[in-house]
Amino acid sequence: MAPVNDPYRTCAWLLKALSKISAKEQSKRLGFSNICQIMMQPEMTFVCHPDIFYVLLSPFSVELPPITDSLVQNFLREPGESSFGDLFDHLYPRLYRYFAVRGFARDLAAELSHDVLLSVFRNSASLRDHSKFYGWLFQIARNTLLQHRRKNHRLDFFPSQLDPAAFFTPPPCESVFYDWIQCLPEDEREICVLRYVDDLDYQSIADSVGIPMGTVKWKLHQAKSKIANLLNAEIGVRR
Amino acid sequence: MNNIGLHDSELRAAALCYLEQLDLHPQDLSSARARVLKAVRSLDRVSRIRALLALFCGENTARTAIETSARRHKVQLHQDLPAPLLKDLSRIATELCGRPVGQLIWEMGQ
Repeated sequence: MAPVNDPYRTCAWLLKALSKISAKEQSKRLGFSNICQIMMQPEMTFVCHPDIFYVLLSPFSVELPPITDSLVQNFLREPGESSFGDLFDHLYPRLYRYFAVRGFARDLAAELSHDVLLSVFRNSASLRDHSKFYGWLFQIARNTLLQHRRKNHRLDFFPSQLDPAAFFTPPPCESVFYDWIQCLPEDEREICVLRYVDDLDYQSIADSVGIPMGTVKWKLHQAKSKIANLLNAEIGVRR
Repeated sequence: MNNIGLHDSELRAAALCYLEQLDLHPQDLSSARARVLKAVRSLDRVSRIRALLALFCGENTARTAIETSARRHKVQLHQDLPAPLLKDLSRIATELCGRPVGQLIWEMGQ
């Protein structure tokens, strides 16, 4: 029986109970109806308390919290040197990482991050929906990356290698993540990296790549299935 | 054979290991910050000058004057706002709107 007087203990109890259900069930996004279904199972029946629902639903019902980043909001409300300076420490490491992961050397990654930040400062007035800031930011980063590659490949006469996802920095030692994404086609690889390395939510990925959010979810699902198949095949071989 | 399911948490953990291996700590954050903020300051000044010029001479004239002067002096506006370019703009403003406006542009650009 769940300890109904203490919502947090109840939450811990339910999470423990959740861990008993199959991995497939757990991987589903748990919305209100799913929670209700789980709670209606005989071994989990207990008297409901409104606080319990609040505690239970808040972590599950929203995929990622909406952007309430005050630094971003401050800058977009009043773009200026001071608000942008505050935002810099927040954005620069992410942008630097974005370029460095995609095969750029340190200096060039820093240079391109600089260009993206200036572009953000110049064009911030054109962003109407402030909640789409990260999608917009990574769209600029992606365009900067493509522009740079186009320019260089035009000079180097390698026009076939323009796909941004084709280049990811190989790790010095073995990395399962790097091995996993190698089995994916370029578009799924890019989305996987945006999701798990750059840590973007679905909407921001959709905005940055320029495809609908449903397609992003579908491609991620496909990618995960392919990686899981790869793992299963490896285990089969070992056995 | 039981098939393995793959969870976001596992992928995130693997991605984190990948990042740790790459050692991607931005070097010299403070110098990058100083560089970006200098450029931002310059862009901010240009945009204020443009707004003032536009007020007196019109939007198109302001834009054309700034772009032409920048080209003439081979200046990238986010890098610098050198005195010859400012002089140009100040002269244009003086011709079109009188000496006080020209002086104002000059002072603003400093």
